[in-house]
Amino acid sequence: MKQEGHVAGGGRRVRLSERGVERVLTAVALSAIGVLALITVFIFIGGIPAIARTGFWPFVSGHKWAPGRDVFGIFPMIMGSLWVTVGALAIGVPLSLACAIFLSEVAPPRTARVIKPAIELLAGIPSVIYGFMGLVILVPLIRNRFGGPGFSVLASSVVLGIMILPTVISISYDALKAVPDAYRDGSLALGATRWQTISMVLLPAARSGILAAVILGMGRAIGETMAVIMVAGNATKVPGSLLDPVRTLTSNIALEMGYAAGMHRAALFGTGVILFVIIMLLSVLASYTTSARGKAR
Amino acid sequence: MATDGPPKLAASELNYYYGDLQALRDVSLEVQNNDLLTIMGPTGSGKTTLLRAINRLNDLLPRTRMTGRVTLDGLDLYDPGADPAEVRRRIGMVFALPIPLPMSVYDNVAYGPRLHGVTRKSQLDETVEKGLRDAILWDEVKDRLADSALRLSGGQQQRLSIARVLAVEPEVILLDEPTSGLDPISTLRIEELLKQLRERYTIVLVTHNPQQAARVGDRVAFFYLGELVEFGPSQRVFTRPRDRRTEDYISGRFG
Repeated sequence: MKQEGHVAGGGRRVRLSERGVERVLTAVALSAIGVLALITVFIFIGGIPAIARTGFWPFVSGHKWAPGRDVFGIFPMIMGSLWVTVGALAIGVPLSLACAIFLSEVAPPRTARVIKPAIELLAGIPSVIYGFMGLVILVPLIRNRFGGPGFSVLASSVVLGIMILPTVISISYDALKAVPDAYRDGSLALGATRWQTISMVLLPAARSGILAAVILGMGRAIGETMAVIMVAGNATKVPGSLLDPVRTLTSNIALEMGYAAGMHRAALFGTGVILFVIIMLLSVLASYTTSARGKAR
Repeated sequence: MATDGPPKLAASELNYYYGDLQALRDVSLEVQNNDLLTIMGPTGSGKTTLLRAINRLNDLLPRTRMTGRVTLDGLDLYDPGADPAEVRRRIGMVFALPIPLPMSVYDNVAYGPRLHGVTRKSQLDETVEKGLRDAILWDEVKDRLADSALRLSGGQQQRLSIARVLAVEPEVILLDEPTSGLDPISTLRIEELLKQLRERYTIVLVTHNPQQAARVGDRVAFFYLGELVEFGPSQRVFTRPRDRRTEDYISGRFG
């Protein structure tokens, strides 16, 4: 009897400390959400006045951005962000996929062991360095080859396309590596070539991981500011071609926040609100497509 | 039952190395057309290596080395002109663990024919049904062809793997311990299936179970530590083994 009581007492102590750990972890997790909530509230409070005064539709579809005259239309910046992001994905994703496939399926393991860390090193380079390289190499090159000012959608897309490589490559590489070898053997044993195996079995099996990689790359491209400011030209005009200068939502905020006041400042927060909403929509869309595809399997 | 003639499949003086480890030692072996050869031996005796060398599945492994010849109908499978994908189509393989590809039942069976250029729906339907019927799986899955193959039971998955192989119309089927992960009833089903299939195909079955070798094989080969110890008609090998190691193995003294 005595012994039993002792055991029960120990159990209670364990349960208490268990519950303590649980509470601490819950608090930490909630505070992360709290930070997100605070940022959201802060941005919305800052931005709503400008959007309300201009009107939501004129704000997002207005072509004119003239803070001096209190005219705030951010359509050019929305289009700017869209163009450079799509451009970056068009350049970065095929390269990344090819590279991930090479590393995971084609390269001898020893080669992959050297190349993979080298690619991950790319992620450690500060974005201003990418911007600088773009500024001194890419911009003049585009100006001389294709005409225009050189500061352009094209320059931004190339710089961003390179910047998203490490993210997209390493996540899609991990996704491909996670495909069981049994699938490779099973496919090859039916007389599939290596490429047929990659395209018909491995890529579909890894698709949710690859999609996640693309989405993270897209997030990086939309959010990148410094490198884009340096090569984009930053004109507040909807770009008519790849060679036109462009200003993104993030650049808009970074370029003007330093001296903005009053309604101008609120309009920059409003830009942040729109950016925030776009990113939320994208991530919802992304998780929806992944789970829908997951079910289809 | 096999008659003596030119062998369908032959390995001669095969040596296989994984790095410094020698997995096969001077193995020479012939399989006649429509013969069912079982290869038995304890773990690590080189059985799987032999199968993977026969259909060139080990090609992609780094740091391996092979000497010797493997021939199908007298043609060298490792000839520089031979296409490994074509070799693997003609020599199908079923693995120890059933591995449905992550797609539907239908797509699993249609995968092979599609690889080899069949696109017409009616023809695919026909091939898929025939493959599944031949693998005695049709009646169980005909209403759930669109379901993920991963939802089938283990035994069904293994028969699906066989259906998938049959659908590409191979000449030789290699099976690597196809029943090792299955319960006795599923095992029995697979064995029944093998007996039917040997009417039409040349089959090499690897097993670590001497009883299974005795039950289904026309001929049996016993491997030990990479060496072909004994090879002959099942009847003879099981009743009058010539080598001491074979006798020890089939009487269950090791293995």
